[in-house]
Amino acid sequence: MAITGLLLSFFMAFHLFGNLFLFVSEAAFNGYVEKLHKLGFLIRIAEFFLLAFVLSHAYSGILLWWKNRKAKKNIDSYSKENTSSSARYAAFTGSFIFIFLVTHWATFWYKFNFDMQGMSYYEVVLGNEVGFANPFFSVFYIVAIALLGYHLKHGFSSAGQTLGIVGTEYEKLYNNVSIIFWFWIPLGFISIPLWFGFIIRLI
Amino acid sequence: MNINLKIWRQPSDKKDGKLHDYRLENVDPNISFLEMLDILNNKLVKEKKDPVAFDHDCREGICGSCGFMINGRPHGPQKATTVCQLHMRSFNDEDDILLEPFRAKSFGVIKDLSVDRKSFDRIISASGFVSVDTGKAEEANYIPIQKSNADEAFLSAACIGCGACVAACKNSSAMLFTSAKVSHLALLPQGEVEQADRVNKMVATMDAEGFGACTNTGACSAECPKEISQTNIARLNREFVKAQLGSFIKKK
Amino acid sequence: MVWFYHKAYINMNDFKLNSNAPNGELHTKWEDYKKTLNKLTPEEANKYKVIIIGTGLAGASAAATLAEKGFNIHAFSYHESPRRAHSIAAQGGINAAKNYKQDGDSVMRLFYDTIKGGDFRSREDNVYRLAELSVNIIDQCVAQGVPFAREYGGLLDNRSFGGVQVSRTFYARGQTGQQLLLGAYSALSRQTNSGKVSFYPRHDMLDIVTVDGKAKGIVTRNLLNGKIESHSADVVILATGGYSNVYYLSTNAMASNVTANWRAHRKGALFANPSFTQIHPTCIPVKNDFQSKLTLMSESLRNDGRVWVPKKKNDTRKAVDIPEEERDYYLERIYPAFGNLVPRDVASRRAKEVCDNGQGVGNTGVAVYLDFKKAIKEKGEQFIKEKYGNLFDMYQNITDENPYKTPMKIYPAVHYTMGGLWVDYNLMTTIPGLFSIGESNFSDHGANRLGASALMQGLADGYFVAPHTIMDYLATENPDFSNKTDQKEFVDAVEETEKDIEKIMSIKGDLVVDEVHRELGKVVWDKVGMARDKKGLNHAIDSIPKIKEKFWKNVSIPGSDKDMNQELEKALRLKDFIELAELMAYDALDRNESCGAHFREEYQTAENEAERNDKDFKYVAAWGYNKNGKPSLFKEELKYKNVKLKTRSYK
Repeated sequence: MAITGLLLSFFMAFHLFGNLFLFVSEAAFNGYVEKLHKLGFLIRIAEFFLLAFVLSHAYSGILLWWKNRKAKKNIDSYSKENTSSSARYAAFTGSFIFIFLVTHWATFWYKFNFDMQGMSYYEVVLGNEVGFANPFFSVFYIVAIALLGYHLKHGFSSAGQTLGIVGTEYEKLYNNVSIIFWFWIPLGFISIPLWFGFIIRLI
Repeated sequence: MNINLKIWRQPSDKKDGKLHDYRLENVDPNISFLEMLDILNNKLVKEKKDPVAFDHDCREGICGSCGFMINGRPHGPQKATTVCQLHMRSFNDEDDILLEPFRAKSFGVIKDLSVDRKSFDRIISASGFVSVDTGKAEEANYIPIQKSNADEAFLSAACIGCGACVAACKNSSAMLFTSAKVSHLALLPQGEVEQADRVNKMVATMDAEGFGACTNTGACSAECPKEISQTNIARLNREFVKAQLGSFIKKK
Repeated sequence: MVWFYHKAYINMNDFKLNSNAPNGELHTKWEDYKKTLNKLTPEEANKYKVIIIGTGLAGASAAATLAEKGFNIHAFSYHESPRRAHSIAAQGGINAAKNYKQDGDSVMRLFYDTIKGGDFRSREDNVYRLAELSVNIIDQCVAQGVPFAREYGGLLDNRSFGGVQVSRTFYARGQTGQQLLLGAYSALSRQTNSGKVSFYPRHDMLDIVTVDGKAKGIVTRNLLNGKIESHSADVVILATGGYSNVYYLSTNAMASNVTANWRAHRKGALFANPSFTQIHPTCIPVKNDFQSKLTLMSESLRNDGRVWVPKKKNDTRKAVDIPEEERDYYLERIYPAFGNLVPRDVASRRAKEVCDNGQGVGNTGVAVYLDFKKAIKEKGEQFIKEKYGNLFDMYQNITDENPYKTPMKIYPAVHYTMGGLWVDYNLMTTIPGLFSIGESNFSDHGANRLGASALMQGLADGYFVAPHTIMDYLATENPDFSNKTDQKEFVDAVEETEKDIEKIMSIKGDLVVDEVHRELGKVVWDKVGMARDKKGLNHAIDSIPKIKEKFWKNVSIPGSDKDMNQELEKALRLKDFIELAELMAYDALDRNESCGAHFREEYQTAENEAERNDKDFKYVAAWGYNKNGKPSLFKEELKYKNVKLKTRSYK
């Protein structure tokens, strides 16, 4: 879980890098996506691995959930006061994120690849059909990313334990990098619908 | 003070249990929690009823016998304290107090609040030792050990094996217990030699006993009456990865 | 070569007990003797079955070591796991004559300190062997991974303990017993894993089985389902600890009991020095009638605390309201030189005296103050906090009083029993094939045990003595691996045990077991406690049979005996405690002298100090059981060839 989770987090950072072109200009964003598309075959391989990571992460998560459910005799008897809530709800947030991913692929990814209807990438993202001009999509996006951040908060502290980083000289560095991943990067994602979906309209 | 107890009564693992209500009046707030149960039991015996079974022995917080859930927390509300060291003054007059046994598939209920923790013994006997026969030891000061390592090993070895970590965990994971022993021996040169084999066997036994997997919820360490640190779990994982890689390379 | 000595004297009516210690020079005696003992190869050893009762320090270490040598071990405990044994609660440390501090320590010196500490009532040969083996124990424990305290240089640290002038105590914070027990437990677990040890958890031993005069098995009760079973073996080892709980309140664990020893005693094992019980002066006093257990506070507190009581009798004022001039710092008054640092027994006795005189404090009137006001004023609160912080916290948690603000209340409590089954140099009781090790035997501490010596003795017996002498005994026995529990002796023993249980279950009276135990404890504490006299002891001998009658007529056990029944467990233990209590009174009455922990009011100097009588009482009192009537006394004369007998003085 730790390894696939970390790999997915790296991808996420890369993804945000691309998204931020939206703030630069329409042309910059379109040009960036175009460049990615030109990679062709390579991007399909990357996508294949990405999907494999997601599925493997989800699969081990489900196995873990099932094993742990079996190990507890009475699923309600544990110290709720001292169980970190991000860990307690990790399975729930994970499931929610999975649903989000599916919609994310069904909308942006599908459109970008097969159904552009003559629009630019920029227009799709900020458009009304599946984009951030639609407040329903924006709110869903913001909630999902916020939960992703919460999921990663647990994910990073957990990976620190699983990979044995806690208690070594690298612990502090790792914790600082973790904050980038579970706080700043999700915030970066959220800034886009927030800006283009709401703030820009109010100004 | 007066208290209202709700206690889990279960004749054995095979029979169903349920909660019973008991009321105790004029309880001296300065008696210990177990002394309060003694009073309840004496009362029950006088009424020719079956007293509540619970494990306890040293009543000094070191033998690890006692332990049950008090209002959903192993060993009750006071930090770093076993049930036997808990006093009634931690509660208020007319409090409702819910007592349940430690819940885990690997801890069968023996009777009422008493559970079977033999699975812990099996984890230790899998390899939680240094293989040295009596009389074959070398002079004690032959290998100097860094003080900080010895101190840390002691902190890990201070585990009393009460099972609170398993009960506190929503996954019933025995990771804190197992890692405390792995850490204790990994930190000392005497334990280092067998470390890879030890961690593999202990983890395998822990899984085979039906304990859940660690999802790093932190509850174990927070509820541990001896405040065994979560860094032990990270150390176990480190040792486990090392051991797995080691055996992988060996196979090649 | 050992057991037939026993056979010889067991048949004699008036025998002198023989320690069976080999002749020869003290320093080389054990090593030379070891060479003469019979040996078995692991293949030969594999044909024998060994039963061990109790898996604390002594039991677990013996079980592990004998299993390493190839014997098949069946280890029994009433606990769910060996790690629960009460050895785990020992705090202070373990002595060893390593002389790491280069302060002039030596085996000879540890030997002498132990003999002198025991007020010259222990066996020279055993004590020397103990001192000699102490160094091996530390080596063994370190190799097992016991995390002893270390210095910055990485070497083992030592501290001084119990008033001796050298630093020879090894420790692991205040949890030395825990760490040593976990070490022995790990060695035992290793043998469980290899299949050489079968561990029987939650089994109470209720009787011993002898065949042709030799110990050949035991009767147990499975505490989970009440099943009475018997088990046969070639040799039986008792490692069942001490009997402080005869006093009801003690620092022992709740389940610690004398039953195994007492059943052995009833079957012919002599019980030695039963009245030698050690009382620790600094315990947290009893609060009320529901008190179940006493907690020890480190003796080191007396280094900075001042002991006092109000001068006025029945003074109910708060401590802080009593002015200086109305306080009696009685230890400083009586012992101007030693003051608050007099030895354990003296401090304990004086506390009892002032409380008996009506000057005791607290709501029970059975406590004295231990005041840190002066030390805090002179040395600062920070200093006290650093030195005793954890003890002060522990005190506050239990009593809800802040010892920085108001003086602590303390009172003596029982915490160790020097007496136990009589054993010879081989640790064998007077029943051939029945060995007794650790606190359960009487052997090494005489009339008083030094601090940090209990752990040492348990491990010396278990790791280094019993495995050799038991192998020697077994080498003369024909191995018999078959299950012999269908033999008449076994069947009879099981039947007798079942009858006892049936009888107890059928009483259906109205007394809770604890009530009877509390009553017994009060008599034993008052009359066979810190200070004894003839009148009181006779009173005890009169009143204990009445308690016994009350027990057998009026105790109440709810539920079934075919089930987990903690009340029945307690009752089965109490019935033996009652009989032991009577024997303790007889023993204390016989010993017309004061020595170590045994203080007879009639035998004291003009300054109220103990008056030992070496002329008439330089012996071990070993008692034989008689079903109807008084116990019979056998004496083992103590011979001192290497030390000079001296009188202790603290004035």
